[in-house]
Amino acid sequence: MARIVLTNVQVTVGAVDLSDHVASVTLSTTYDVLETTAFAGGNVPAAAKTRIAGLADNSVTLEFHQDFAAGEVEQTIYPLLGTTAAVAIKPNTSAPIAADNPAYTFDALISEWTPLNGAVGELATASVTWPVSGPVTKDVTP
Amino acid sequence: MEYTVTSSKKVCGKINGEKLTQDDILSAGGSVEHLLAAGHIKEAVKTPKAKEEPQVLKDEPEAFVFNNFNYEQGDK
Repeated sequence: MARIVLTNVQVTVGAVDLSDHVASVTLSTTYDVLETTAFAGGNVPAAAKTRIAGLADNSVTLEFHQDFAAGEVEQTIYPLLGTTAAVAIKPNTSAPIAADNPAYTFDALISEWTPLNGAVGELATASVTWPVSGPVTKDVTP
Repeated sequence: MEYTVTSSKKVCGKINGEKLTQDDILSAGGSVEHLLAAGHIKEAVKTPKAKEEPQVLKDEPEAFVFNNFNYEQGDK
């Protein structure tokens, strides 16, 4: 199995491809862990705790390079603040969707934005973590 | 309704100058209002179709056929 070096990840927000202004991406999924350990009730006493998965909780973290030019990052993200927007992420922009290049799509709640961030001489960036509303769909169908 | 991509970014996988429909945008999870406001797309200008003139059938007149008919038939 080939390891993958991320150089060409595709990130679209609200159907707009912002890949060339995104420096890092993290898509996380965690499940609530619900403990189900109980007394033995006549059976063999439990030797260890038992658990089941509860609801999934997904989020995406993106680091943008800020750009105030027409049609760029600020003009795309700022109007979406407080709304949900479709986000799609694919490891390799150039390759078609496949098992080794899955596309993840979901609705993210654009809950935060940092229009201006950075010190003197630094690149203006905006690092955000948006919670996902609903499930994450993984598509491997070409 | 058709729209033209005016952005330097790909919109629904289309590049600047390419056209897309409202269905393309909605199926990609986008919002027409948002894309218009952010300057990513504009309404496509419909070029009026050239008015088709009713086709006039210009049938060639039937060629006059001179029947060499002898009107002076009869008894002489």
